[in-house]
Amino acid sequence: MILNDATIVVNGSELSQDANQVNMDLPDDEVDTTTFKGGRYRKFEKGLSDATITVTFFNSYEAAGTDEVLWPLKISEDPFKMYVQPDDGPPATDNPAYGLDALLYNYSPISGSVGEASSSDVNFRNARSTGIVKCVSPAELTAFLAAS
Amino acid sequence: MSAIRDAIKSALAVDSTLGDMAEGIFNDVSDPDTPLPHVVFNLQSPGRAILKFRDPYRQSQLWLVKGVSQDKDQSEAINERCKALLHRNKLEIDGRKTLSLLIETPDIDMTEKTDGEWYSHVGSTYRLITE
Repeated sequence: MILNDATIVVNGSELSQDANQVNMDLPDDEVDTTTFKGGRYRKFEKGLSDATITVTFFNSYEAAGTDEVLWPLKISEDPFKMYVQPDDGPPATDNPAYGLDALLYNYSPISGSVGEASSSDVNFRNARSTGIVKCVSPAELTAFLAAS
Repeated sequence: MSAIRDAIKSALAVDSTLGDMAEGIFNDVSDPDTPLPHVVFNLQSPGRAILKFRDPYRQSQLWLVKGVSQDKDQSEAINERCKALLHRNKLEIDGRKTLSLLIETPDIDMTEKTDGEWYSHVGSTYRLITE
């Protein structure tokens, strides 16, 4: 899979045209449950999970560009819906949509030096305990977007 | 490519001061039948495309624009005028948008001897980023 046409939709606005990198970081806490007389190795169990989607955007101040979409979310404390897909087109088993009820962190509206592209690595972090929701059909994505 | 070439040539040709300084503006190769001095510009490096998840892609190119004359003072004066015209110019390019046009290497100075005649080339390179 070559990531050519990834889809990034934030709060209902598609921002794929301004992005060139996306990463999903989904770590789980590693809880040490090693006991006395448990043998030579430590034992771990999964603890709480986390979810962060990081997108690199070229900053844009045009209508429907990154700043018009991201700035209101940056200063808001209300969760919003976002999802990413590895390809263009509707959600499917070979093009799943990964949805997140998110809050926006680390948005830099202006970043760069003279003659370079102004870009921003934007972190979207989970704002609800549902974490990442994987949708493999348009109906599943619709249900995710409709859920409160 | 031709649209970018046309845009650079237009940005230079529209200036009457430069028009008084040079007898012609040429891409790549001068016209030998046109008397000197000349403005000659050419693409030095096409650069790699800067891709996003949707088109249009960005393009970062390096252009050389120079004055050519048998009088070094004339070549230098043409170079100065071209810098004033191109540096930070928002070129109007058919089908593309200029994001940035900045001088990259100012005041390149070369001398050429051909058939016993000396020619002075003084120019600068410019980084052009379009989308």
